[in-house]
Amino acid sequence: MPKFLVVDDAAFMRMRCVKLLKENGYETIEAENGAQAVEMYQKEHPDAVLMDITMPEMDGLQALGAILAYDPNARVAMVTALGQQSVVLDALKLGARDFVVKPFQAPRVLEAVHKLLAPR
Amino acid sequence: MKAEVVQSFVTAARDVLAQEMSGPVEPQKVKLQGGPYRTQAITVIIGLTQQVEGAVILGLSSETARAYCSHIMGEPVDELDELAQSGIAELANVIAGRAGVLLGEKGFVTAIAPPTILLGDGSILSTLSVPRLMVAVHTPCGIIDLQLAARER
Repeated sequence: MPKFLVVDDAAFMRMRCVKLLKENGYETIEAENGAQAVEMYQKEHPDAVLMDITMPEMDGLQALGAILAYDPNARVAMVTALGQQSVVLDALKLGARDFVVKPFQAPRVLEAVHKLLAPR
Repeated sequence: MKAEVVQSFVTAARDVLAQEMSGPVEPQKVKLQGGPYRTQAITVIIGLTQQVEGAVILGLSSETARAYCSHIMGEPVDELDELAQSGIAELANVIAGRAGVLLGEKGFVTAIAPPTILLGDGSILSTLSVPRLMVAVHTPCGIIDLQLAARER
């Protein structure tokens, strides 16, 4: 069962994402900021990551960079409010494989999940 | 305040709330509000800086907030605990984020601050000399009070 790391400082968003992933047969672990995400990635080796961008302590872009430095093959999709489109482009340049725009829409999240897990 | 600035927030609220609540959302007429702002059961304030500066305020009654959270979670939410508060803050954050994009398309570069939540009815907030515009947004979960206290730079 593929394991997803869900990273968001908003507990409600993590809950929505985790619920959707579990309903679709995925295992999940959670982190509430970028620093915790990097630590959990190194410890738990998830198959893929759904990462918010704006977070305290270490934001999503910094965490993306740190995870890709540790594992260049990491599969990470960014989750963002629309106001951050320029940041999304930066994330894609850094190596994020997809992005999901809030508000949360289950079909779009699952599309990103399938894209992340697809062989390259 | 320019109409296109106000309209960006109204459009963002309408679109985001319609998506989130899976039903019709009807923003009412924009009104100029005098006097201080009186908080609702749950009030979210998001600061705006750069070419539009001030704050956007989202106010919900306890019933509306619980109805929204129940709708999203797919089960009754009886208490506005930290999880529910996080949901309302995120809703305001996404509305402000989308408004930021719409403002950007109209030439107003705007930065959005993280949300602050106030709990409890009836506290007084002053936006001092910044005029405040109010739109009551009718949604399937109840009325959401959107207020914009901002000016262009």
